Amino acid sequence: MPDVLTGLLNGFGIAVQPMNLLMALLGCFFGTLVGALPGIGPSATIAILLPVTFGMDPTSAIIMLAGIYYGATYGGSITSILMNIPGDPSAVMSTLDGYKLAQQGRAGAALGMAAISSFIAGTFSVVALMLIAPPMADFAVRFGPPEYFGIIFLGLTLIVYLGGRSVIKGLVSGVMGLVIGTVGVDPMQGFGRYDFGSVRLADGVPFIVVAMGLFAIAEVLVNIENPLKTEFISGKLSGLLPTRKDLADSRGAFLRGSLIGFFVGVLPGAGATIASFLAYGIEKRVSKSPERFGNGAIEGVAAPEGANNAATGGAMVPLFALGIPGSSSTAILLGGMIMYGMRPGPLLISQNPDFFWGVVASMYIGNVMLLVMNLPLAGVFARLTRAPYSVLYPMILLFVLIGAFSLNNSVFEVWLVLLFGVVGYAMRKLDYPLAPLVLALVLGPMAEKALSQSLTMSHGSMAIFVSRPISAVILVLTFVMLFSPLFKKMWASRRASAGA
Amino acid sequence: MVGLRLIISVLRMAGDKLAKAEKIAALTVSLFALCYLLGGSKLQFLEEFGPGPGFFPVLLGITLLALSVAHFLSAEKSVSGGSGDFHPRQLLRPAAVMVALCLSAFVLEFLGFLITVFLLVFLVLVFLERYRAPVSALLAICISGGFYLLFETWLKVPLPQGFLINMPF
Amino acid sequence: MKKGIGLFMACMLAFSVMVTGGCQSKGAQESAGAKDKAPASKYPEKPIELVVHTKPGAGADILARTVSDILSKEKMVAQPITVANKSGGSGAVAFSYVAEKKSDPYVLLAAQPTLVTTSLKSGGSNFSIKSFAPLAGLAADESVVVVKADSKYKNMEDLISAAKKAPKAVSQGGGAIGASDSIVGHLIQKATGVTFNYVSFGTGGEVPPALLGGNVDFIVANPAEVKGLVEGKKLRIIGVAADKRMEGAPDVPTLKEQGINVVYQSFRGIVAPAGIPADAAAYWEGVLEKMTKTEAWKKYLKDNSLTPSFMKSADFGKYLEEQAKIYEAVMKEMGQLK
Repeated sequence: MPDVLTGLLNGFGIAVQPMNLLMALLGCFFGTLVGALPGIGPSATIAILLPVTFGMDPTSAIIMLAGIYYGATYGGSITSILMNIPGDPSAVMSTLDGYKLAQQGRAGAALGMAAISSFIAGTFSVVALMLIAPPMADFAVRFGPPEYFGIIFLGLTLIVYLGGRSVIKGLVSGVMGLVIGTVGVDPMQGFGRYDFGSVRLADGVPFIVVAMGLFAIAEVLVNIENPLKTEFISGKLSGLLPTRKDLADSRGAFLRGSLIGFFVGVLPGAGATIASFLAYGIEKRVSKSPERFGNGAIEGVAAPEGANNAATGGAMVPLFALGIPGSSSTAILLGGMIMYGMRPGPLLISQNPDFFWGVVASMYIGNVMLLVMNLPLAGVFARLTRAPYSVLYPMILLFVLIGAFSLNNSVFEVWLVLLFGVVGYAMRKLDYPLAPLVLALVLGPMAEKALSQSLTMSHGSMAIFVSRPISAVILVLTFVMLFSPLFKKMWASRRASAGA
Repeated sequence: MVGLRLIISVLRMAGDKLAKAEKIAALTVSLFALCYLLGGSKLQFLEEFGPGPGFFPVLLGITLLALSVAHFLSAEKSVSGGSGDFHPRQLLRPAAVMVALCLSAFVLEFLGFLITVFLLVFLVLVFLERYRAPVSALLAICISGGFYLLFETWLKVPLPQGFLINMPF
Repeated sequence: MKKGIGLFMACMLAFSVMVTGGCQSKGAQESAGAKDKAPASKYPEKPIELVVHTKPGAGADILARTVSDILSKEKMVAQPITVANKSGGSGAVAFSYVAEKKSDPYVLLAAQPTLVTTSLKSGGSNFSIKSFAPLAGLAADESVVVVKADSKYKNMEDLISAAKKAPKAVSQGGGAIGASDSIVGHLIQKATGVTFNYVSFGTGGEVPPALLGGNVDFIVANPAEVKGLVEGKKLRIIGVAADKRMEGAPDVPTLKEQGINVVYQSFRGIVAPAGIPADAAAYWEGVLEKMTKTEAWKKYLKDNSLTPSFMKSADFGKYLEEQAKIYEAVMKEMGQLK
């Protein structure tokens, strides 16, 4: 403990140097901006700004890049809430309740809640990073393919709860997502599937393309049907910040979001996206009034937003403790660290204590900066929704076009996004829920890969899923989550008949 | 009284339309599932230890087919929520925008970003939103210029240049 | 309302038809003009694009950024060099992009064995190894066999005798089949007559954790990928597929010393699209050779455990062609090519 304290104090000493403060501020600011713009993700920005940092002290550079990373995770929620456009896969869950809140005139509350929840969870994850990084990392590497499959399968089953009114439509949407996920090279043999021989689709249909088409374009199309609609959000803007009741309601969400986000973020290859799904799904499951979810439940914003920020802290755990990148953004951070001559690995913390503690302290500061920047801005952004929609929607469409084009500098992705725009419009008109599709799209390929790896490891035996302790626990959890409502009903009816 | 009967009959028609739309949707999905299934059956189903490339596609195809058939059958019985009154006329504006977007995608690499975007925004504002021409032009210039600055200059995101690359902008 | 829409759509249609017709001819004129204006002695006159087939942070990306960084810091190249990441399709996206830019001397590509393997597998009629003009080979990356530090396999002999007990008794973790580590695994199997149980992980970053977690028995990796973990005593290297021991790890025996005749090096170099003017090629050859003599480059080699190995363009070209033949044979054996 004393080591940690001295290290931390030392780190704060480094982090409050004017240069580092500036870097943190720049990082958070750019990150938020970039996260809000669909199609341009944190990894692209970090890559673009990496050369700019070459002359600088490595600590300052990583401080800025880390700031971009968690700034972007928050930024994605801005467009999710205001325009139903997830800027980042991890922001998809925020569209469900966040956008509904915005439509009810409570955009400020939703944005503010996102900021607050991100702050709480982000700080939690930095504390955890600081205290338990090495043992956490050792635990995390014990997660092999069977365990990953368990978690992903858990996530997939939670999709069933997102169906809304019609379970069948939710299932169809989910299976469609799985189907689209099979496009591309298969994880086992590298065989092209459903790619019509084109190299473009070799890696599958990019998530961001589907999300932008399904959410953004379809949303615009639905909104402009009726030419009389001039304002995006009719009705008064009530309250620019979350109320006390909102905060009280979300206490559990803060806790659960932080925990789930951190632990899932630690697992290499999992990350903010899965963390936000799980947090939302679990929040809904444990809620006393789950039917509010999807209609503007404030916890529906607090949980996923907290989770995705906690996941960024979690992702730093394997990075610092073992030198293993957990996601594409941390991979770039790793590359940057290597270029500065650092040797990421178990010895990093002991060999470069100033660096580690400087970055950790800066993450605390960064979280505070984000909160301070974004709470007042929540009100400003909320007012954006009062701009005349007729000018707003061409700009939204432009964002989408640019976002799609910039993925690969080609028009192919633009055509894809338009295709999904039409599909999304059809789904909206016919009342098929959108969220299951995109979630299944992300989870499906991961599940297939994990399954195939697990079975290869076990020489074809399914026993591997129960013989490994962690995997068995996850499966039991999934089972409980899935069937407990059923059991509850059976139990209740049995008691009723016994009583009668 | 007559008015009431009229309203009821209109509602019933809308209801039928909706059920019909649902059935068509379910049929489309079934058709898609069949094609998908056919494609998947050509792939190897099982590998030495685990699923082969065809495993999931075949299973998913069957599931999707079953689901969409079930949906088709159940669509007759209920008129599930969604958009209550559905007029084909509502599709006109969205369709126009989609067409405009497609055309933009088509000419994007020829004309370059600035011109394509300017035209898209201008035409949408003038014809679809009925703004006056000078206002639309001004807005279009601001928007296309602003976006260009934001992405190309600030964020250094490469945008299609088009054949005007020799010009100073 | 209806009139407005009709007019609007008619406008767009007419316009796009006009424009497409006009543009195509203009476009053709443009590229013809550019060809004639081939740079003379003032090359380079425009900024250079250095394409990388991976996402930022991967080995090839670090190579590209190091190269561009050194060249601009030491002012060896007058124009700025931008690194452009075009990941996808195991490099197919980047490679076809560069191949299409035939004879354009302002586009370069960071080259690794993936260039050869993907060209063979997915190039088809779009690109092959001949679509690229070799500029210089810069370095070589060794392949090492790595196990967990507390593994029961203390050397290659332990590993191979365990593998001999039953087919697929010993598992190897690696990237997609066809990637370098799977090829080395295949070569070892060929040399010793055993069969490993190959578990493929998608991206390179997922492989060391799999080993750390005890989910696979061994992996084949580049030294830089595992350096930190070896120093941190979590992993151990039990063999290197080279002719002589590595400078940075003198107590690691080679595979040859342990009776397995497998040598494998991943090259790292720079190529350009085929058909670029001779003076441009000579320019880069000279500049890159100068670069390899700088302190910054030597530091890069050391930090990443790379072996210096400079090859001029002609030698590099011959090397690439040999590699292509070798890979073709190996990939056919592995069932990656028909």
